[in-house]
Formats: sequence, structure tokens, C-alpha cells
Amino acid sequence: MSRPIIRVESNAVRAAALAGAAVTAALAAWVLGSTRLALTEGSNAATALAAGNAALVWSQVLSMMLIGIAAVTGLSLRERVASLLALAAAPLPITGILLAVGAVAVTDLVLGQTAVVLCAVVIALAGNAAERLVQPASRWLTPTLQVALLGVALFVQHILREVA
Amino acid sequence: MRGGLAVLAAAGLSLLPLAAAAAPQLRALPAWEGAVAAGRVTEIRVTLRSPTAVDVLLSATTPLASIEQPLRLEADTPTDVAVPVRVDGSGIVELVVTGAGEPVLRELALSLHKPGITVVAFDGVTLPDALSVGAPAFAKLPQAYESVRTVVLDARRYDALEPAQAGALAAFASRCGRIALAGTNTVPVRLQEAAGCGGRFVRAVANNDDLASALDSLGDAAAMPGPSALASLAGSGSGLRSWWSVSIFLLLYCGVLVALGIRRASAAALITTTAVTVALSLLIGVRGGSASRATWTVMHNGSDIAREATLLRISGTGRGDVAVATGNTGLLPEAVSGNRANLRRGDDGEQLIIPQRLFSVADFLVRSTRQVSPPLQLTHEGGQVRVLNPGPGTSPAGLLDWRGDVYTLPRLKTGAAWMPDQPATDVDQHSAFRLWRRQAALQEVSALLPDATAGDNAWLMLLPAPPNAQRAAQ
Repeated sequence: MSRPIIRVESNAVRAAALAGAAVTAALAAWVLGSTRLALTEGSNAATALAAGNAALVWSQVLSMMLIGIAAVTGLSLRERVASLLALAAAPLPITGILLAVGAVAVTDLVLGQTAVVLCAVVIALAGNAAERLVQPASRWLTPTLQVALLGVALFVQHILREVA
Repeated sequence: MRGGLAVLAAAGLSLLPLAAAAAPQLRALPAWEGAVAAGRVTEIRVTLRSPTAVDVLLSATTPLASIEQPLRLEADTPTDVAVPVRVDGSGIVELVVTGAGEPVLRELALSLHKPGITVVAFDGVTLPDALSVGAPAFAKLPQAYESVRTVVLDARRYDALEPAQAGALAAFASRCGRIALAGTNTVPVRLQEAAGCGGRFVRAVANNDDLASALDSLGDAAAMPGPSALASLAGSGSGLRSWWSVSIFLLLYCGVLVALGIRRASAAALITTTAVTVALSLLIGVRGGSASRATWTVMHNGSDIAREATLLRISGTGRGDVAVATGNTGLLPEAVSGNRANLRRGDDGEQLIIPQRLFSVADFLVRSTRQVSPPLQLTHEGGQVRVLNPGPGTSPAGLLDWRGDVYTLPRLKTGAAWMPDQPATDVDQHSAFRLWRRQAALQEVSALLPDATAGDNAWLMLLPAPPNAQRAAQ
């Protein structure tokens, strides 16, 4: 009998923790830098962090893509989902700061994080499917294809941002 | 079109029962016949009458400020209240009365003028760009003089002022407002005693032909420091402390994540850590804010009236409304940097309600006058400066500026005198010092003292009695 996802212990989860720390640190640096600048200049911190929700969501999604599609191979679907959810959850304390500053509406935050959870599942499924389909052909083909997929995903994301 | 609305409002023709029978009748009459400068305070005199005794809430709202005042209306008895309003470039004021039947709504369109209105309540002279008014148009609230630079009136109209109107005019005199009493040789005693700046801006002019030249020769009082100058005294408030707290919080969290990554942690441990941290971060949002004040006071020897400008800085440390007690000043603070001043009056005094966020800074400026005993007597005679402590108590140490040189003013015991000797060479050039040097640039002599009576971050600029002060009564 397999363990529940939340009990998964693996290098993938450790990698998710480290990657989550890195993403959180990057977001924190941006949040703290912007607010410090606003405090120094006497301007509005909420305005300085107006892009907070978008920054949070994109950093979560991109880091999940990086870990879930390109970097991590040889995982079960459960391990993949667990590590991606852990990675997505890591920067969430930033949301408390954004809410307190008044830079983000609660509804926007909830919608954004719902999208992140959906992305985590989709990315896990996509990574798992790609590995199953391609891995037998060549040990190098999977990572190559995954990196290509990541490139396509980033391109699509860029197009979507431009359209938005 | 707007002028027509203003005339309609000013004429007070709005005694109309708009709502259900139980709702009170509302009559609104703006001061100065509706004339006001954008961004300044004026007054709406509201009269409410209800067929039954009832408690209501009167609110006056503009894009710059709102004020709420609870009122008790007795049956068939008119209740008068003067409400300060700060108008923006639209000149629109919205009055709402709630608590008795359907809400009563009234919108007034005031007539916008340039700041520095000359108000004339005197038939004997015509002044360019002056606003001719009768005694009923005079404001009852001192702050409603914010748009007014000069008041010209005769003794008959002065005597016709209600006590509250005369008090507001006296307060205008205490803020060094320009007042000319036309057709008389004497200034009323109340105005004489109230006048600030040594009484140099209150003058009696017996001959009508001399009125225009007398007004030209009055000049204007030196401007008090504005919000940006006072902000330098106020500092950054508690904003930086909050910033450091949040920084340490996030740093600790990242450290825990790294530790979990280095050790072999389960997804459960990782998600639990994150959940606890999210909960803690949400708690940041339920803290209030902190208020700090910076006050700059200017007074002349020979007068116990001081002009005061106070910057109230609310530093947000979380999400929520902050209520700051402002006493019973009746003053509507000026919101700086895009905020709005929401004043709530109640039995326990007035409160300024400010919506706050983490790292937000809301500044409010209050200009007022107060009676204060000068801590020192500064005399400048015969090319020499002399400082005397009339007591009681030891005076605080300060600084003296005389002809551009700065001297260290020592603490003086009661009755002790001091004369400047050697200019100081190593003066701490703190923000109050720099502001004082700017404010005192045109003065031959002035002193800077910490003003413990007005708070921790309060400074008093003391000036000698104006040599050309002309008491109209003399």
C-alpha cells in the first residue's frame, strides 16, 4: 500500500524545499526592496507592489515548470505532484505581506493560487506522460524533450502576457 | 451654471422636506456666500428640524474630507450646527442626514475662487476682486477663514456679528490674518487682544480713501512651514521598524526551508511549515498603526498667541482603520499625499479615522493657534540682543540666530538674562535646525527652542516684538 502524497519523502521534496526557499527569497527581495524604496521616497508601498499577485503566480508556475518538467526525472506521479505542490506552497507567506500592504485583493489572490494548484497538477501529468512516452527511446531524449517543452511553455506564457 | 447653483445654495433656499414625513428638514447655508478656494476649508451652517425628538447622524463629504457628527434633535426645535468642509476642485459638498426615516441628501455646489479672498463688509469702498458680504455670511468656525486673506468691515457690521462669528474673526486675527476696521480710529478690544504677530495685521482706518493704501502696506505674515518641511521633522515613523520586522520574518522562513531541504523532510513537514508561516504572515495584517507628531510654533514676544503647524503622521503597521483622537479642536485636518481626512465627532471628542495598510504613511496637516506663555523674552535694542527668562522655571537650552550667526542659547534660570557673545562653531544641524534657518532667513534675530508643551517633536521659533508693530488702538 502506497503512502499518501503528503507523506512522500524523497529527494524531489528536498529539491522542492530548496527551490521554494530560492523562489521565496527572490520574491522577498523584490517585496522588501520595493517597500524600502517606497518608505524612503515617501511614496505608496501598495502601488510599488501592485504587480505582487502576478509576480507571485508567475514565479510559482515558472519554478514548477523548471522543476517538474525539465529538471526532475525518474519520479512517480505521486512524487511529482507532492514536490510540485510543496514548491508552489513555499512562497505563500508572501501573500500575507501583500494582503497587509493592500497591494492585492483577496479574490485575485484566491484565483491566482487556484490557477497555481491546477498548473501543479497539469505540469506533473505532463512531465509524467512525457517521461513514459519518450524514456524508452533514449536516456537523453527525455531531458532534451522536456527542456524543449519548457521553452514552448515559456514562449506561450510570453505570448499570453503580451496579449493580456 | 455652477454659479447659479452656488447662489441657490448660498441663498439657503433649500428648506425642502425631501424624504418621508419622519425625516428632518435640512437647511444649509455656506459661509462667505459660498465662496471658497479649492483645497481649503469653509463652513456649512446646517439647520435641522424634526417633527419628533430623534437622534440623527449628520455627515458632510467631499473628495478631500468627510465629517460625521451625531446630533440630538428635539421636537419642532431647530438645531443649528456649523460643519467644516474641505472642498476640492469640483466645489461639491454632499450632506446626508441619517437615523430618522429615509436619509436626507443634499448636494451643494460652492463657488470656487482663488486663495486669498478679500471679504468686504462695508459700503464705503470698492476694492478690486473683493467679495462683498453681509454680517450673516461671516463664518463661525475659525478654520473657515482658510480661503480668506483680508477682511474689511466697519464697526456696525462688527457689532452685528454673533458671538461665534466674532470669535472666529478674533481667531483669524490671532493667525495674523489681515483685518481692516473701516471708518473708525479704534480696533475692538477683543481683536486687539487676540491679534497675533504683534497686532501688525489688524488696523483701523478712519478715512475710506486710505483703505486701499493701508491694505497694501500691511503685507502678509511669514508663511508657516508646509507639509514637506514638517515631514523632515517627523522622520519615517515606525515604517522602518515594520520593514525590519518583516525582513527578519521572511529571512527566518527561508532559513527553515533551506534546513528542511538539507535534512530529509517529508512534503508534510514542508507544507506544515508553510501553513504556519502563512498564518503568521496573515497576522501581520491585523495590527494597527502608530501616530507621531511634528509641531512647529512661531510666536512674537509681546503676544501670548502662537501660530502652530502640526504634521500628524500615521505609519501603518498592518491592515485596518486607525482612530486618532484629535481633542475638541473642531479642526478638519488637511490630508497630505492623496489621503482623505475622515473626522468623527462624538461625546468623547473628535477622532480622525484613517484606513491603514502595512508600510503605508498618511500625513495630515493641522494649522492652528494657541495661547502660550513665551518661555523667553527676546529684545533687540541698540544693536544688541538680550534674552531674559521671565520664569517660572528654568528655560530649555536652544539656539539664537542674530544677523546670520548662530549662538548656543544656554538654559536660563528664572530671572536670568543672557547676551550672545561668540557664535557657535559646531552646531548639530538637525532637521529642526535647517528648517529654522530657512524660516528665520528674513529675520534679524530669532531663537529656536524645544517646545515640551506641544509634544516630543515640537519646536518653538521665538521672535522679538515687531519693531513696526502698530497697535491700532494706540
